[in-house]
Amino acid sequence: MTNSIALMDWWMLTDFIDETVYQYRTSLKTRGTEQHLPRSWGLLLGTFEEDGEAMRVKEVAFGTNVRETDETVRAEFDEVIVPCFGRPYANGGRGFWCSNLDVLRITRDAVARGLEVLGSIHSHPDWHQIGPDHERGQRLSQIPTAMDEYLFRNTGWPLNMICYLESRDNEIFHTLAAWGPPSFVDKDKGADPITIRYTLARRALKEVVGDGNG
Amino acid sequence: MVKVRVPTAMRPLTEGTAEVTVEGATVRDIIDSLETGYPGFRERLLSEEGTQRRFVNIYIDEDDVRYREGLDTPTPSGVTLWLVPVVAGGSRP
Repeated sequence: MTNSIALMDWWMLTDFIDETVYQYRTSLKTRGTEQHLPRSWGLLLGTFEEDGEAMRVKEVAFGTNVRETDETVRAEFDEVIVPCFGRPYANGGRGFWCSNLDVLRITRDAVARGLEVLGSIHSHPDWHQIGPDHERGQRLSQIPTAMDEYLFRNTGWPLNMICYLESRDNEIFHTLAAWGPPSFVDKDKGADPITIRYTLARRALKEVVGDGNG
Repeated sequence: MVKVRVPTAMRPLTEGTAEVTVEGATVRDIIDSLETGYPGFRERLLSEEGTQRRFVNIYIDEDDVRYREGLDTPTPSGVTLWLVPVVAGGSRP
């Protein structure tokens, strides 16, 4: 069971990306203010392929963020995450933590429909270009940060996706990448990348299989 | 006997099995049984001090054991124990 490949329909993440771009655009409008906190995330539901090599993502579910309201979560940030990974994480607007009851609800609903919670996806904006002046230079990408790896390791979900957004020439570009959980035992080991493979869009599929007209 | 629903995050410990059945009168007993049958569960569920890790929640049917009697919460035969890791993430600005 390697789970080194994530399969999904080409349109699977459309709702997530729409939400991500909406938040990103909003953050551009409020640049330099306290509201400048683009973040979006969701749970990835799907199944394991029988070959043990691939996971199939079939749905994205959304939950409630309790990063700023749940006492247990605030304690984790205050006692562990901020001391380990830096003061920026003291800002409750950074990152997300899904309501535990929502995770249970989504899990039970998924299981009842023959699906599993495979992991999650969250966004990284190009903070080094759009962040407030005092935070410029802090580059994000589709690569997990140390904080990401800490959470990937401790939660253990088999699929952890990052959507990187970048502004260039008045357009917004995005990249998707996926990672497995780092070893829970060997703390020096990092997260291994997961290959993402999409089905072909309908037009491309038609070109491949032919439309009967030669 | 108690059914334990194993999350995908812990499936490597059960070689892919999604649900296992174990014996135990309390949550702590269940964790001991899991550890005996599938080594590695204790480390995933409990800290070195023996307390429940923040990164995993344990539900008896729909009740969070943290808000009952914690690891001493009784587990009557026939209930299902749900192990549910948290879903969290965050980007450094």
